[in-house]
Amino acid sequence: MNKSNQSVKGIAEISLRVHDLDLMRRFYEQVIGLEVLRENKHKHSEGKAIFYAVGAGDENLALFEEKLIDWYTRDKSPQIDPKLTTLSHFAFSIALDDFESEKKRLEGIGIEIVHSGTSSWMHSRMFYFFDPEGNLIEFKSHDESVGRGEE
Amino acid sequence: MNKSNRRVKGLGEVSIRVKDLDAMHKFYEEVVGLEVLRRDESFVFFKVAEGYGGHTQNLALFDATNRSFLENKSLGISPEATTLHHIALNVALEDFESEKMRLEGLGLKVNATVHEWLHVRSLYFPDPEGNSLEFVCYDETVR
Repeated sequence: MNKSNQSVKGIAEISLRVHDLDLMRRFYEQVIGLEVLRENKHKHSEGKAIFYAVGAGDENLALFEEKLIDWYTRDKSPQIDPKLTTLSHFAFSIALDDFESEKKRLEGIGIEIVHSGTSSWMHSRMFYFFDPEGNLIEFKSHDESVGRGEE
Repeated sequence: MNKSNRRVKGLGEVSIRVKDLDAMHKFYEEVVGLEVLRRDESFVFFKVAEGYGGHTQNLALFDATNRSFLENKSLGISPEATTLHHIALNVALEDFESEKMRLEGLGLKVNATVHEWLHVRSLYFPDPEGNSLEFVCYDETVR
């Protein structure tokens, strides 16, 4: 069992920052055998992100092309040059019931929430913060009401 | 694709490379709220959740100055150039040997090992950009 007061319920996603998306996608699809969940073209940037389903649950592994520019690739991370790590970010799943209280708890201890958002195709809401060495962490909750009726 | 046919059964572990192990340990224990599974001189493992087939889903922090564990396992990426230590994906115990042969047959350099304290068997191999991947399966007989 987890600690009874543990809000984090699992690892939801690991995202890699990749240089050669074609090469990397061939490997993750053909060698590792992962199934594509979604390919996201970005509205305002060149580059693409591909999400893969891992296992039977909601877990994802994602490849984020390095030329994909979004808020998370700007100078938000104080210690890590985004070009100097292959880890884009990783996500923990938390219960929807805990979403707002976790956000408040973290802010209350001085953690800056650098971004909040929703994903209609994932039916989830999420917020992001940095660990002390600049790794980007996402807390993510499944929320069926997000994205319903869209797309 | 039928989900049951997938070789990869789940995200087993994400491991990151850290500069200040004590500070990072404190953050992940107290701020993120994870349960410590094992703390050693140069690493700490947190249990995130129950995982696939008896395995626990872990977050691990490895002291960046300690190279012993993955010294020869990641090709192409300098340890200074990424905070990602490795990613573990769960595979079934019955697929372990066939996966090893399949990966080797594709020309990948595969390093097989066991971790007694976690009761797991592991295959380490690099992806094309040098990230270190692990196929891991729980095996009660590994002690």
